[in-house]
Amino acid sequence: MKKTILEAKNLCKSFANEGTQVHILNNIDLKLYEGDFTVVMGASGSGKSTLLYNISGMDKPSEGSVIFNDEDITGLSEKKLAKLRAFSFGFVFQQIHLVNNLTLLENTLVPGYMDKDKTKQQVQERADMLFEKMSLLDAKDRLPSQVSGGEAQRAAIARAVINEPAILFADEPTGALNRSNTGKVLDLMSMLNKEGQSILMVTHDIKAALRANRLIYIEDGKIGGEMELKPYFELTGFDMDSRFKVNDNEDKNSYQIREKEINKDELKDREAQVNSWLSSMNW
Amino acid sequence: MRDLNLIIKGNFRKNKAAYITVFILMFIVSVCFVTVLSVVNNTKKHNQKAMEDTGLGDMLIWCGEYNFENFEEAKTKFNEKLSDCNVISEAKAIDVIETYIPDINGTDYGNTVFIIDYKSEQVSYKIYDKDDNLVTSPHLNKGEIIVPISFKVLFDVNIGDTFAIGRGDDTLDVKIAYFFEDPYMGTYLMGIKTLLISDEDISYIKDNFGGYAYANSVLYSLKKSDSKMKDIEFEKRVNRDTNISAYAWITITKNECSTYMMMMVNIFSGILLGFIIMLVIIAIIVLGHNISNSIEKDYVNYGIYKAIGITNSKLKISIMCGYILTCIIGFIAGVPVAIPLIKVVNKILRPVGGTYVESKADMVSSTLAMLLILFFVGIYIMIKVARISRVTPVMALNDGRKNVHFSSILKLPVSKRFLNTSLAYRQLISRKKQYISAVIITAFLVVFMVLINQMLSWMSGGDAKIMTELFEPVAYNMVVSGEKSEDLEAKKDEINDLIANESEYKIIHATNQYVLLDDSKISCQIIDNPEAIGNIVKGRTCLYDNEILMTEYLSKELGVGIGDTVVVGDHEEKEDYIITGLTASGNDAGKSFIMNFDGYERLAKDVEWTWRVAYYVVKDEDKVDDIVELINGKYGDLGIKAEREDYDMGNNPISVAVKGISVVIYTLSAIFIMITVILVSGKMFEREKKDYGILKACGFDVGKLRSQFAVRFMIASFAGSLLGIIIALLSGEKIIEMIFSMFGVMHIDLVFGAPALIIPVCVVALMFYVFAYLVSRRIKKVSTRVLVVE
Repeated sequence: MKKTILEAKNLCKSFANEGTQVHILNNIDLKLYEGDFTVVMGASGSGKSTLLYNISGMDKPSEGSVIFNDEDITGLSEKKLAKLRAFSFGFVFQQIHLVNNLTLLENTLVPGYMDKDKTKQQVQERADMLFEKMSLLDAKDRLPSQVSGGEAQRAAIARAVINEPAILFADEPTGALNRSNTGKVLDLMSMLNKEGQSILMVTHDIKAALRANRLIYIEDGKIGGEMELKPYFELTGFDMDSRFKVNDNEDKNSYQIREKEINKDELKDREAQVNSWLSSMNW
Repeated sequence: MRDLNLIIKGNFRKNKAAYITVFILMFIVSVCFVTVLSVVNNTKKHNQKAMEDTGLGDMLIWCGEYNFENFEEAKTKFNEKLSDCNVISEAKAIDVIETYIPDINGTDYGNTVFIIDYKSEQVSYKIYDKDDNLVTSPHLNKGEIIVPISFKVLFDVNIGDTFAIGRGDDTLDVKIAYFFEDPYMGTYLMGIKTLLISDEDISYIKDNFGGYAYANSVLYSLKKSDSKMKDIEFEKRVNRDTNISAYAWITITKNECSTYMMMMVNIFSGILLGFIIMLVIIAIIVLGHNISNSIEKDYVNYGIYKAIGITNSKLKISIMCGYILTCIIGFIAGVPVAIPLIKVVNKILRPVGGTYVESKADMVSSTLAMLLILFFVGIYIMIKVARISRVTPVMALNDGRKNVHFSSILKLPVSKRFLNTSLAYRQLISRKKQYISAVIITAFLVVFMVLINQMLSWMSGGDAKIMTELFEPVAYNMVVSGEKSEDLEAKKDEINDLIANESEYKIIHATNQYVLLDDSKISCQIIDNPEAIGNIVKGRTCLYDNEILMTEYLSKELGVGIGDTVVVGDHEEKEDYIITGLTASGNDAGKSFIMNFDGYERLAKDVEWTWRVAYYVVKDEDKVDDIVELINGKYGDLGIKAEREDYDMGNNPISVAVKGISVVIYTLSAIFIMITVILVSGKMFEREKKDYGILKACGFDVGKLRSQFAVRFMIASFAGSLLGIIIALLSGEKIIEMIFSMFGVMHIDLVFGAPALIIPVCVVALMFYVFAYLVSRRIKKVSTRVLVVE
């Protein structure tokens, strides 16, 4: 039995547009489970990003509740929400949002330093560990404008998980990246998931969706369906340590070459399974 | 032209806030400029006209009967001499009574006063009632008196109050019936005062007062035959031809009176004008900031305009027209507000300046000043809008933004303990240019605040000693006076022994006498202990009987220096004296010199020194109060009184005015800081919106982000304050000397006290923090959704 870490009940979101109410989310009930890599898919305008921001406390739903740690977070004050974002939730966005006057490492350290229970050394050690895993050590002292999109997005992920959040929310994290960097970022997320990190990711990229062990399809603001998969890290040949130690000078096909390391048949089956399910959802 | 109109309208619509800010700034500048210029020019014109209206001349000479064996005979002789002097076109001899005011409202007034019959046809003064209305030929009853308006601040009296004139047992109680305008000596700053009473009271004084309480005097009023002749030349020529001043109590020229009468107005307006000019500079900096901000905001629009063929010059003209028009509207709007303000300032300055100046706006000089400002503003705008030429349509359409690449030696690591401050600091140094205006403006404001604070510290407390030293040859800390000089003389040794038991001390006897120095009547301070003189800036003290010390101001005016010989004369005696040193004294507006007792005895061989007052410099400052108590306890019954000199200027007009100016400076500083913060932050919000979203997503709450935002301004203000303090340290002495040169003080050893430096820094930093924190409420509205791409 999986443990529920967040639950949305009757979640509605609507906007007034020139006198008419536009309903983006319609009475959504959703549970997120500990250790799951949940991916929300749907067509453009289906409400998937709105769902992510409403259940993560980044936006206020028009109706309904979001229960986290036995508390409805929709009614929390700005201060409590800020605390939630600092220590319980992590965020990764489609555009790479790093503070441009801080180095990659500093971007990561800032939320870490907000945790008064941790010493400076503990925060720095965790940041170093994350940077090493993400192969960012060489770039850690560079400004966001001095690194590649992939490096910047990996740093953004490191920042999102520096305080070991209960859930990592990712909104199309590979949307602004090229193929090579997309692979690296997704590998990183799979690695985090393998280590127990719960993830909710919104995407319309099937390759990204393959990383999930739970897929949710959104259509017209409602949950159209969902499917379970075995965790990606359980695929034969998935060796995080060797896979992730990438060289930034590799050519753009490196991701494809590496993908070959995973059992081809298992991967194909998984892709077919997902495609078939998506077809059944009118994707 | 139509296209230009449309562009200007578009600019107005888009940058409303920027234009409103410029309007407010220019409105403030206009109000201040019109007020100050009008007050100064109105006072100048009014005083000149009022001097002419009195019927008095270019030089006034007071001669008392005590200087002559036969006063009537002397008057006749002088009348003849004056009529023979060909540089004089008209000489009037006005009968006056010289007497004293023992005490008014508890204020001991040490100066002689001159009383004139208010019906005198030789001199005509304008008389005013309680409500400052002009009264024509009022009736003055017996026992009533008309006093200069400056009595209001000198003695805190008003119409209906009574006081006594005379001395000892010979006094007459008089009631103030009216105030009058004395354009020659009415200012608060001049000790010599004229009072008007009825002929019956004049007869009463003559019949009933003894010689100890009054003296008959004559006031000679001389007019020049050649109006182009300088007053100093006229004075010297009259004295050379008639030697009248050698017998006079004091002489004064119209120009000197005019200088004294304008002194307070000039000083205060000088300080305010300096501050206003600084405000104009700040306004221009803010304007520049505004322009570059609006250009940045309108980058895309300029790209579009250029893409459709609008020329660079048209775009530049559109911006220039918009801002110049706003400045003009701001200036014009300031004038009606300045008019009531002129009234208020005149009302405040009236008892200080002593004249009833009209409260109308001096539009000619104000308009000229405004045109000059507009000229500079125009040039500055032209420089600022030049960057439009460098914008290519493609660059503009791409918004012209660049990535942040910065490397700075000022960079510090992000700290866990001081996370908010270190983040604020990083944000600050990564966009240093944004804060340049805040730094420059802070520097300017701090310079003025430091200077005004230093002046405030001179008005009371320990630093007030410095002010005293500027006007007295010796900074004493205790005064012992006796009602009768013989009593004080009799007990002097006993008192000195009593003081010596408590502390080491120096005793100084000093008096003031007007004597002729190179044919000009100049105030001479005669002192028995020249070694104690404290404010010598060059040379040495006057140790021998043929030596004098002179103020720097007088030395400059007479064109003499250390080692030069001057002729000093009194009555028929004339002797040569060598200048041995220069002092920085503001005594008699800097026109004074010092000699020792022996020196004066060369001129007045049979002089007998009798003292009613002795000045003490008690070495152990803490013992002064005990000594005062001892003396008063032991000799109080004999009319001997000891007092501590605490130097506190209390509520005297200089002190009040400096306090008033400081309020104006602090208030305007607050307004300018607020405007600076609004302008700078407007640009920052646009640029940093995403950063706030990121930091909110990372868990920073609004309070922390607002505090980070405000801290940046505070850090910038510290940088500006540091610059300001450096400027104040380097140039403060010169600026203060410039101000005090109007008092005749040419040299000041300025040592800034810690509070004078620290208070402005803290106040400015606090103002920046508070305003920035208030303005930063916009951060509340920034949602993390700015990071979301829909």
